[in-house]
Amino acid sequence: MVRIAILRLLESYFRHRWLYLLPLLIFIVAGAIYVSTVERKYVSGGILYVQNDSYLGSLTSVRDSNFSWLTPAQTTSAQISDLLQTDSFVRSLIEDTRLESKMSLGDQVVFETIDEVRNAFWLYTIGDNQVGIQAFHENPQVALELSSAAVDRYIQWQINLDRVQSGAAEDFMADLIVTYEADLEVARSELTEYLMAHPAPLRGDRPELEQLEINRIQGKIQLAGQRYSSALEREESARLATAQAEADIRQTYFIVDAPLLPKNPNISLRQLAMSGMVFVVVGIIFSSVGIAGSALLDNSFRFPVDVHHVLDLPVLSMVSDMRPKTSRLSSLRQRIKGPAKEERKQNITGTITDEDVLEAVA
Amino acid sequence: MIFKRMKKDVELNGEPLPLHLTGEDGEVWMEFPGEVVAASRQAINRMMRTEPFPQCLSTISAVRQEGVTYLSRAIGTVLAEDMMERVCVLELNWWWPADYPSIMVNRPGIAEVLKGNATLEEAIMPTSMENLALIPAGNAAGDQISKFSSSDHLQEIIIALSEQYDHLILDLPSVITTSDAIPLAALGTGLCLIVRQGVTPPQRVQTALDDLDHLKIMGVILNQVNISTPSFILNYIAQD
Repeated sequence: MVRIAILRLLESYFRHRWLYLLPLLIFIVAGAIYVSTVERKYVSGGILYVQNDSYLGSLTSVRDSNFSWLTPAQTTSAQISDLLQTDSFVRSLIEDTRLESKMSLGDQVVFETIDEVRNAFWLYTIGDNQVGIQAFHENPQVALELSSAAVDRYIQWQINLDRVQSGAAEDFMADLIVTYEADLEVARSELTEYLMAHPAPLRGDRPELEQLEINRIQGKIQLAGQRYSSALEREESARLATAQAEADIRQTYFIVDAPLLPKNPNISLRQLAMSGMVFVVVGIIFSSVGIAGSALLDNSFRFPVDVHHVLDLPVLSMVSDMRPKTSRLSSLRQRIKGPAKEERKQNITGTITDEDVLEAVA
Repeated sequence: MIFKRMKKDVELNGEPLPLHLTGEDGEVWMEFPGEVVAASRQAINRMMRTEPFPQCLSTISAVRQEGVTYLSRAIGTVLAEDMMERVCVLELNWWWPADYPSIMVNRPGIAEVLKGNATLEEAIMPTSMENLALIPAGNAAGDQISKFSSSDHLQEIIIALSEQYDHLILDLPSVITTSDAIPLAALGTGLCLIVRQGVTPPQRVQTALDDLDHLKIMGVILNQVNISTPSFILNYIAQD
């Protein structure tokens, strides 16, 4: 059985060898075209370390440290991915690269550039705290600029986010200070005016009523002063928090591996060879399927072993086909259609014609 | 250079010569190339391996256009040429009779003998070979064919021809397409099935064999063989 299968597969292949080699040739050509035209992109990447919570952050409690199922690296990666979907963030990245020159070439070019940059990044996580950011581009300089810009702009985005929180506190305190300072000045003026209106006697003490009023005004000044001092202290704290924000963020997100200028394109010769081999393998599979299909569908005797296997009879001899190819084709055509009517009539020794059949029936 | 020429000479000497089936007047009716002669010779020899060549060999096929007429004439010619015995090729395919030169259009065949319109001697077509003769099928109408196929007269003719010739080669119609092929095949003492390589479905052949299983089947001749696999590969795989 194995022998029959081998013989039939071989015969199937050699009968129409060029037909079965065609898929292989097509895929080889397609593979060659792919390998020759594949874009050789440069990759520049950096690794960002994300700390769970910064020391300063824990002291100042400016930053929130809610529990989450996601690791810091996953959260950061998701944030960067989300930011890359925004035009403003992508535009800010482009500002830091030489692609900025394209942004003045019309809407279509701007759209294409933004789309190109958006799709030029590949993010991945390493463990719980490290995020890899890779940028692909035909130009190695642009790849470096994009990856550097992505890291810097993300950190800056985080700093800006914290600055918004501490800046609000600073503004609030600044407003309070003005009010408290005004209250203090009013209290001081009131005391000055009262003392001017009620000077101290030349002999002896002030009357008890004046002394009580002076004490009341002095208490008022003291209270306003305390509130003013407290507001000043809080404003300083807010300013300190603003100043701490950047340091805090810098401590939370720091660059482990800075992006470098790529020297070689991402696709190596080995990868190209592998890609080419994939085409060849697919071509071989297609050719093999064609050969096997043809062998399976071939419902005829091809070799003596077929006759022996199916009929259990010996093959006395094999008579070669001596006819020219055109004759073979016409014979096959005739076999499919049946002999022509005229041909039947032309048989010189006579045969059954339609007329004969009609006569016999009659 | 010398070696090449010697090798070529050997090949030419080993090649079988073609044979021609010619009429008495020298007109070539049919040409059998060397390969066909060799294949026919091989078939004859294989049939004679264990027993003498059948006195009356039926050549038949499952379906039409398998080359039965051609091979029956080839076997008859080779048999007459090689064994120097008297051979007669009797055509009994009234459904699709063989072609003959136009000069013999009005010549009687076995059908005319069965009808009583001609004698057996008149139907015999001598050839250029003294020990080889052909009897054409003749002209038979549809209702006559069945009668002829199972008639005693035909059997008597076969017996008469068997006495006159050492071997009879019967050229029979296909089994599946004609209903009278089975009684005609029974006229022979041995049966040889012609199968066209790469064309005839095995199921058809098996069906035909089921109808002929009561007869002595000598074997199968694969006709019009066209193997595309190179011989140097086939040499590594047994094909029997």
